[in-house]
Amino acid sequence: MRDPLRAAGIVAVGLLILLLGTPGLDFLDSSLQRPEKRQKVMKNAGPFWGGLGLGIYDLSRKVRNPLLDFFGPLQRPFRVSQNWSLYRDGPGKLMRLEIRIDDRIIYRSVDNEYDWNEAVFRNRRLRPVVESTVMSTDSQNWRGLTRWVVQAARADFPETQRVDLIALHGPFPGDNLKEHHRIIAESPSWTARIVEANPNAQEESHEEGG
Amino acid sequence: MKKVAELWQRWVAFCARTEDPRPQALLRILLPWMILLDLGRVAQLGLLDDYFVPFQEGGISRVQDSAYILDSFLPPSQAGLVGVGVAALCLLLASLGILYRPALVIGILAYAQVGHLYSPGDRAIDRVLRTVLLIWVFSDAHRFWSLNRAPRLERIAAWPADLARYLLMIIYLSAGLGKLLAQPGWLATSGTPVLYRVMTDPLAAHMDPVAMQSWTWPLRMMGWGTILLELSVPLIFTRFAPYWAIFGVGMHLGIFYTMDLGMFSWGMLALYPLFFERWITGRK
Repeated sequence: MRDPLRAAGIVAVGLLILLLGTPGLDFLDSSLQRPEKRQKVMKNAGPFWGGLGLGIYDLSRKVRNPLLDFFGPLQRPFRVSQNWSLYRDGPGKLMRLEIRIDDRIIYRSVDNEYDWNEAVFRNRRLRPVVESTVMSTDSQNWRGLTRWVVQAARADFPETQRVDLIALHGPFPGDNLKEHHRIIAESPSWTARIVEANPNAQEESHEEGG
Repeated sequence: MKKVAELWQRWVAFCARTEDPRPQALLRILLPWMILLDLGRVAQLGLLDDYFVPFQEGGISRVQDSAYILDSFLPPSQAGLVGVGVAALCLLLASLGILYRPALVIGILAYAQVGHLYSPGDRAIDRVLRTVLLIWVFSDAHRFWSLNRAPRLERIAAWPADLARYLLMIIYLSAGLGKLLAQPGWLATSGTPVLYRVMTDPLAAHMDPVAMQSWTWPLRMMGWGTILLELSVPLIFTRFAPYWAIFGVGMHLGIFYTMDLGMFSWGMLALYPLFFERWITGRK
């Protein structure tokens, strides 16, 4: 009796893994619901492949998605989400983080000349925070990163009066990077604020101290 | 109907197979150690109380997943650090085969809590390792090469290894299809290779974007090779598995050499005893 039960359990787990992580389905364009988009797919891919693709999309939306809503929460206690979108694409533009204390550069991404705390900024658990902070001004964790940088800079350079985290953006290969935005923290309050490089953009001011 | 019954019987027999315990025991030892070494690196950098303490208490991340519950039982400034300690201790015990199943379940739960607390640093490799370790709760991997006092087993159930291979097939297939659906340029024969942007992104990699400009064809071929490797992953269920895995090792070593993804490459390679099983056990 034990063997059939085990075999059935393995089938159930296998189907659950397949349901939660069906390769490719999470990358399908959600706009495929729109009639004009569907017509375009049929026209470009032909009746067989277009029909097959749209059939898979419809099946996923109507059958898989409700099942995902039901079974998805099972993944949370063990934090084992089965969505595997690994390294699909590189960034469209090249970005670097530059850190200055009192206008002196101490760190720049992948620059051997300015490598203050490089091991920290390259650590896999901090890298996504650095990336989101450099990418845009609405990163969720720029305040936490800035606070860490300010504390570390003041510990290593006690005379520091001002710390700047500068997001540099530009086309590959990166020989013409321009400031996209910067985060400034100054003594004595060490309150951090984001300033966009666009002079017409409104200055955002935030309350975090160092 | 008879055909279905016959198929079912074959499936039941397949799931009841046993195998040499060495590949599963290797994973039991290696996977927890990948996490332990990664946490050790965090401690070495002095970042434990920056990652595993909420922003309000001085940490970096403002956002905690709603499944984070450790701070319901412990002071918020200590809950995450206790979680790290419990995860590390339990994973160490599981690696040694001591109190194997309870240690593994508690270890995975505690490590998941740590991930809920500091979600930016909890990446795909963490989910891969947790998922495989969750399957390993049902494995007898602790009955070989371990400090467990239960008698050593020369054969253990093969299905946990099969299920883990199946999971890895889904992961590699998803990675390959995801690349193609997001960016068909992976297969392009002209233009800038996608791999150029991936390997020279200063926020994730460390190759020189200027020097790599002349590497167009090698990068293009490496991109095709990556897609081919990921989409050919069903070979892991055949006798060609070790040969497929040689290329997989090459890909992960390449990622390690060119990118800064921490334990990603080593974590994935720690799963490769499953693919080299024939060579490890001498099975024909």
